[in-house]
Amino acid sequence: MHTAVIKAPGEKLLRVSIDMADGLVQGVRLTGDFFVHPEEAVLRIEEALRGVRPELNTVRDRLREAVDSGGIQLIGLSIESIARGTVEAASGCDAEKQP
Amino acid sequence: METWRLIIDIPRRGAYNMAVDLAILHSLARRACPPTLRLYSWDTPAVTIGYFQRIEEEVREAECSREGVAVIRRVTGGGAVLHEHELTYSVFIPLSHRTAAQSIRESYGLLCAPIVDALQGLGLKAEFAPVNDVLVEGAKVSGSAQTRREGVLLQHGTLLIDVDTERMFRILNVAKEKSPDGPSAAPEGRVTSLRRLLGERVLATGFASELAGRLARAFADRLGCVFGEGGLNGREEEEAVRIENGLFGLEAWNRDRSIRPISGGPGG
Repeated sequence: MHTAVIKAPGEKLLRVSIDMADGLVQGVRLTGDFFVHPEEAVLRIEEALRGVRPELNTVRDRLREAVDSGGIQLIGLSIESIARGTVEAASGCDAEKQP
Repeated sequence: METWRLIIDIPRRGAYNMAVDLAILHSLARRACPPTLRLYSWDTPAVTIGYFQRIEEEVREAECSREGVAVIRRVTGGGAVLHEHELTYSVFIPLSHRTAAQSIRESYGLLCAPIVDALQGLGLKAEFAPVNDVLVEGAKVSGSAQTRREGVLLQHGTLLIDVDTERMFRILNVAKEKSPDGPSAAPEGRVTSLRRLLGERVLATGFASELAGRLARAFADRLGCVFGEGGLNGREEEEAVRIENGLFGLEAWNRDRSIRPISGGPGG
């Protein structure tokens, strides 16, 4: 488990916590003082990242699809920040594995 | 002009306060009450955290248990708040109302405007700072959070009367990354209170009700309604107890985001 903390200008604080297995994202948790409407949809965003390879473009595409198809509104939060946080947290997981 | 309900509540404990807000939301969802403005306060200090926050990340739990401060996760997003000496409001509006027809961002502006008005009435240079804050002299004196569920807009927020910043920053774990977008400042300088702005008179008996009166009038003006003062109806009272016991009073809800909030259910 590794957590990246993202505070993009004009956005709220976002923590992206990631578990990795075999180079793929195993589980994601997004926490912070942002707003997602409807609130329960944050679980769908997290679910969309399960199994994804932590590359910026891939993660961004997955997120955009989940957000658009789910009619989800992000306030004080952006797809870009979640994507950046996911990649950063994933590389933190890799670094932790090094002896 | 439409008559809305104004509830001026007595000070309550944290979990019950959050339960009453959800009970009124359910009640309005069933159209069993008029649109409502509730003004309330806290009988003991309590922390609420945003829907998307985790207690472990936001709160120093050892300090909370030492000081008997309950921690409750809200149904609304946003940040952690130590509720102590403040005027708290919640407003409940059907999504069919013109205020709720605006985007969520715009409706924050519409519903924070009465707070700005009330503060300006006290002679303060208050301004709305999107998304959800009201500032005086660049420091936050009020923060709000909105949810829309079951056909109802609920926005609740706080107006800080007096803040023990030393205690606030002992209890809340303010991330160092959460610096303002502008020049960085100490967290203590980003929050202010009416006591700091207006002096000791805000602690006098009667100030809280004067403030409540100003806020209610400002809401009525902005929303184009008149308020009839009232209380919770019997079913709302019962439901508030049920929601406190079954949701906000439970570790499961407060710690686990996969728990869904109790919904209002049909009928009434």
